[in-house]
Amino acid sequence: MPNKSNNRWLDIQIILASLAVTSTMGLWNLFVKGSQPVASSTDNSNPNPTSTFVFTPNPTATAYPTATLDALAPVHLPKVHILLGGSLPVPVAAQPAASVSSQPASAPKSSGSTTTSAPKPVTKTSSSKP
Amino acid sequence: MKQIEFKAMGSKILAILDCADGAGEQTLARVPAWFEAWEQLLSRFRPGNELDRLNQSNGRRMEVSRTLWEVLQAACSAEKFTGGLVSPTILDSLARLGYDRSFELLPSLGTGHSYASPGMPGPSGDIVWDAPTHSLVLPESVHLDLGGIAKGWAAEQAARHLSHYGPVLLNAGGDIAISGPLSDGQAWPVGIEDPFEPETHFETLQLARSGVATSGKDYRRWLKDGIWQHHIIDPRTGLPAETDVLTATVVAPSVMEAEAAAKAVLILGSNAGLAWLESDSGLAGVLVLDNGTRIYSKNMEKHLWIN
Repeated sequence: MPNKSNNRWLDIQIILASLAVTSTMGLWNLFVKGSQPVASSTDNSNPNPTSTFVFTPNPTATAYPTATLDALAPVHLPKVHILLGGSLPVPVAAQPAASVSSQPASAPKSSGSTTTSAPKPVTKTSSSKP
Repeated sequence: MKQIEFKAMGSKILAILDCADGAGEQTLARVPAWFEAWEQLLSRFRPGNELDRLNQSNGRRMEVSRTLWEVLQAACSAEKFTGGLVSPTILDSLARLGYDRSFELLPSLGTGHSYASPGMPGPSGDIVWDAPTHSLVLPESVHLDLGGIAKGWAAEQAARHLSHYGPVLLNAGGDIAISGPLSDGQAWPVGIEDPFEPETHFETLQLARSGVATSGKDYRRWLKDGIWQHHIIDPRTGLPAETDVLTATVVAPSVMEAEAAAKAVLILGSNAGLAWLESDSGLAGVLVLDNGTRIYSKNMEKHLWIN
């Protein structure tokens, strides 16, 4: 029984030591990588960080799961319009640009008239009314 | 500047004569009588009148007056001009949809009528014309409504008669004929009514010799069997035009062309209507859509009086 108990304690010590070593290496590597790639990806002289980002193999990197490397890379969010209520705006149907305007673009040529301000109309056109 | 205002053809009529001449004023006073005479011939709401007799002729040859002949010819010209979108043969469609009496007499809730389902209007091409005798044969299946065309024709005629005395503007229920610029050379300022605020205008036009007309589904509407109907019939279906255009205002060389074009644009809808309008350099217009958007045709700008 004492031998068995000693063996179990030895096993626990080995496990704890392994965890301590792994954690230490992992944390160290995290801090080291945390400074290098971030500085690289925020370099303003590079217009497209994702296309030129080069990962330098590092022996300690093997301690990271691949998901961690992906997480370090810049994330491209899809283009979404966040609306506070209401519905997504519907694109306006294409109209001939030259012929559509909500207001006339410029003053019309006056036929013999020098004034540009509209006088009171003498009458109105409208749909037929009694 | 003299003017006279009265009601005829189910609409308000305004005639303005730019002259101080006594003879002109006397002629201006006769305009209501002209309209009454024309209405008596051309209205579909006058039982027993010449148009009514023609519609009841059941395929028999009938000689008609010069006035009715001219308006019928004008109606056929409008049909040709618009590729069949404006046709005088929509009477049965209008009646089936409930517009079978003067608009003021229509019930706001037309549930008491029983009409057959709307059918296609008869083709006006089946009418047999004999120009030397001013007679025609109207097929039994074809019945005529000259409403808008008659109003435009009347405005044109009255303006022409009055123009002997000076520049004239004649507004027949929104269809406006202008004989030429004012005596001092200025253009006539004419507003375009805002269909959403009928007391106001959203644009002022400057017009010399021309015609302008507005066609719309904003006013002459009625409820039949719980469904809103309007008076702009699409001859291709025999039903009220399904369109995103609430009102279409068109400036043209003559009021009759303007009236026909405005109706055609409304029937076609905003995209096809605008394309059709712009395919004719003599036409210009502005469309007000159901959602309030205003669309101006390319050459409308020259007619606008910028504030």
